[in-house]
Amino acid sequence: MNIEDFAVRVKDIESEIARVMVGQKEIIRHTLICLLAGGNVLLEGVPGLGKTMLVKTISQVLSLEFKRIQFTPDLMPADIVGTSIISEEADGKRTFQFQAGPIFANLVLADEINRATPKTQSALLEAMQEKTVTVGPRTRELPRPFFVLATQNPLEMEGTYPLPEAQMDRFLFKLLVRFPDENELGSIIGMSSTSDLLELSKISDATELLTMRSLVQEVPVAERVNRRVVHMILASHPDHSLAPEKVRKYVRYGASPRGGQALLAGSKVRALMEGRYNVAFEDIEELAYPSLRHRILLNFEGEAEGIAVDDIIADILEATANG
Amino acid sequence: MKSAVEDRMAISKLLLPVRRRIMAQHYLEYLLRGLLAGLALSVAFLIISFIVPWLEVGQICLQTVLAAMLLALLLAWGSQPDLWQTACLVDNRGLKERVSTALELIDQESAMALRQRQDALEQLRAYDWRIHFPWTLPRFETRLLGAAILALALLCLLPNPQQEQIDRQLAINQEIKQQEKKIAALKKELQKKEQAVSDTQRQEAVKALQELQESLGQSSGLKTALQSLALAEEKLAALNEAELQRVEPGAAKSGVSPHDGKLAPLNERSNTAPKNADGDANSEQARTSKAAGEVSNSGRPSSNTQSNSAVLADLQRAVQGIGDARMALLGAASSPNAQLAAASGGRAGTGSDARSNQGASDGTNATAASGMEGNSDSPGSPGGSNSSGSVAGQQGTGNAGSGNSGSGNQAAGGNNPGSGSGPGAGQGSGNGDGSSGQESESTPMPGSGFPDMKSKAYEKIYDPERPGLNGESSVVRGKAGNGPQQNVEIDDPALMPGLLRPYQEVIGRYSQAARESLGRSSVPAGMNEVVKDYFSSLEEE
Repeated sequence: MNIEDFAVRVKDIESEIARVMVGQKEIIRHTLICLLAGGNVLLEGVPGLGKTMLVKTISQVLSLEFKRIQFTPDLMPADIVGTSIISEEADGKRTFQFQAGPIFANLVLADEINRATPKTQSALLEAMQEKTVTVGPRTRELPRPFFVLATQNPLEMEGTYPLPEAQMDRFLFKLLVRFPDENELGSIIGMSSTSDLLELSKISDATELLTMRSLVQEVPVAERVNRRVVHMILASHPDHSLAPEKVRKYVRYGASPRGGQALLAGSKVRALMEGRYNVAFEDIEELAYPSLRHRILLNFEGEAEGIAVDDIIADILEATANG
Repeated sequence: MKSAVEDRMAISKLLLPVRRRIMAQHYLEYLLRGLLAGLALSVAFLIISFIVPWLEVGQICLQTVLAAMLLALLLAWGSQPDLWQTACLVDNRGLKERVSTALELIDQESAMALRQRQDALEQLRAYDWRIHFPWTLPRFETRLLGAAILALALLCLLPNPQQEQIDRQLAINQEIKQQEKKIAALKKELQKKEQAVSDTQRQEAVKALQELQESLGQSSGLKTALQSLALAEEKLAALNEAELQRVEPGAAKSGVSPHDGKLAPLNERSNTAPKNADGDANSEQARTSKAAGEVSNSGRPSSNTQSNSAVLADLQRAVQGIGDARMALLGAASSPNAQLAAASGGRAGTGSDARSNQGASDGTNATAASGMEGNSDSPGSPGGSNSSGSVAGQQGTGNAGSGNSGSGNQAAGGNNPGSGSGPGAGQGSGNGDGSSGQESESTPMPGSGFPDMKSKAYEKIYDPERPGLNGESSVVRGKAGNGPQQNVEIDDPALMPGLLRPYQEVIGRYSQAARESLGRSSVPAGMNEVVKDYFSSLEEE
């Protein structure tokens, strides 16, 4: 794949997905960015906004294997990663045979991930970060590309287990799925009955996706852009001199270095999608929200006053605008 | 590598017009800021000039604005954007970090880096810098500039309450410059003399004049100029004294006035000699008069005496030149106040009374008028002089002795010998007491008006206003006499020291005094018309 073809191919993918997904253009775009950057996405939104539909559509358009895991409190890690079971062969000999779990797919939808126990949630940690699964003495590679798309409901907090910070940090982006506006809602209602019948074109495949990922990694980043990202990460920490007033007042912990990596990785994809061959400040400014909002933890005062993390990120961007 | 160099050159070339525009805008903004700073300072200066008199404030304001703009230009030059900064500015206005990334990664040869440079060059070629870098004026600075110009215009239009003082100070400064030139000429002439005067004395005289010239050059006001003049005059007078004693060692002891012999005392000469505004002309006339007196009175001229006399004449002429300079300065200050009188101090009093007849000074005249008079009665010789002391409101006058009356006034000023001239045969002498508020007495003394230095017949006073000497004790020439006393009370507050007096209030009196002086032939005949014309022109104004 040529460098010039990257933007064209992504546009095609976006257009194909948009045939099914009405509205939510930003969610589609950011999900694709995350996918091309090799990361995982945490989608937060009320039920019925098309989160599962999005993942299914992406898998169809990209010709990727798709698995869905519905997280419940009684879900066990073995239910996700798989387990070894005793099987009897033809000669009567019994052996342990690994039965792969649903995580062995290109696209995994972890639906309502916060309903499972922390033990089960942690089963995803290795898979998301290392792209491997260890069962018993053996570690197994997950298929490439591997992409986890988790969802959580922000309203129902009873009987849920909020994701620990370590696991949250594994998600490249946290996307907030907004409710569609009037026109989009009309279109969604109108086509809901026929969407299953819609035949989607396969625009790309796993191999091309991996090529695109390798291209993304070559996108150059100027030193002053890189410095801006560093300053943003530092400014998200309340005890740092670059921190703006809101950060000092309402933030308990700032973003991790992994947050900076995620921001730059996503920015590179966005630059190529824009037909640009370098990362610009506008890439950083757009992707700072999805890549940092789940990495900045509010303190009690911030939670009590209902401070939005996005407002804090806006302050950080403003504070670091002049280098 | 070759492509990297070419790409860099291409980027630099494409950035050149943008850089020029950015630089022009950069200089414009700095110049605006400099202008703003200069105008703000000028407004502050003008406000200050409304509170205290400030000479040449306009010129200072102009220089401040120019200096601020020059400084702004220097700062602009020091902070002008280079190629990298230009690239960053271009990136910030539309090119989205393309150019800065290309410049930064110019050495990389990967496919992505090459494509990035190519993209940057394409975008830069299509970049319309006129749209992205329009001429703009900084809003905040422009508003402030408008306000500063408005304030400046307002201050220029409003009448300055200190303008009268400023005008007067300008006149004084002009006069100081003129007098400085005259002193320089006098000094030069004195240096050329090769007479029988000791080198030390001549050098001292020249040194005194040199110091005077320098201090006049540095003086910023009437007070300092007068102080300089007074000090120089005092030094020269001391030299004169020393020379006088050297020439006529027995004269003082025998009680015979040196006036009887060949040498007229300094200030007597200054009165008897034809006066001229110009020191040089005056000098010539004084010398002529002096020479004539020597021949007619003694009839035994000697070369040594003549040369000594010529030295004395030079010294006296220098003193008189200084006195003239002081009077010119006082004349320039149309309404001198007590501060000016105080600045002139005891020495200023010397000329003040004597020259008050010429209408030179109002304030010093007032000083002389207030106080007491002492009169003396004493037989004397023809050509006797009367002296009066006047400092800080005292005046001592000596009247002629029996027979002929001699009349004349001399303000002793506490330090200075008084001198006067009159047609009478008698000789009177009076010594003023310079102490403020004290009686003035006069005793029969030789009519020279000089203090009797040899017999130590003088008093020491403390004069805190004495210029340049920090008020230490100083010699007051003369001695308290036994003459009748008269107390004069001043009812007119305008005569009190320290008050300013309007020009119109004093010009009439000055004119009158000038006319009287003309009548008493204390003004040289050749200068009569000049004096008349001068006061006529003043009256017309």
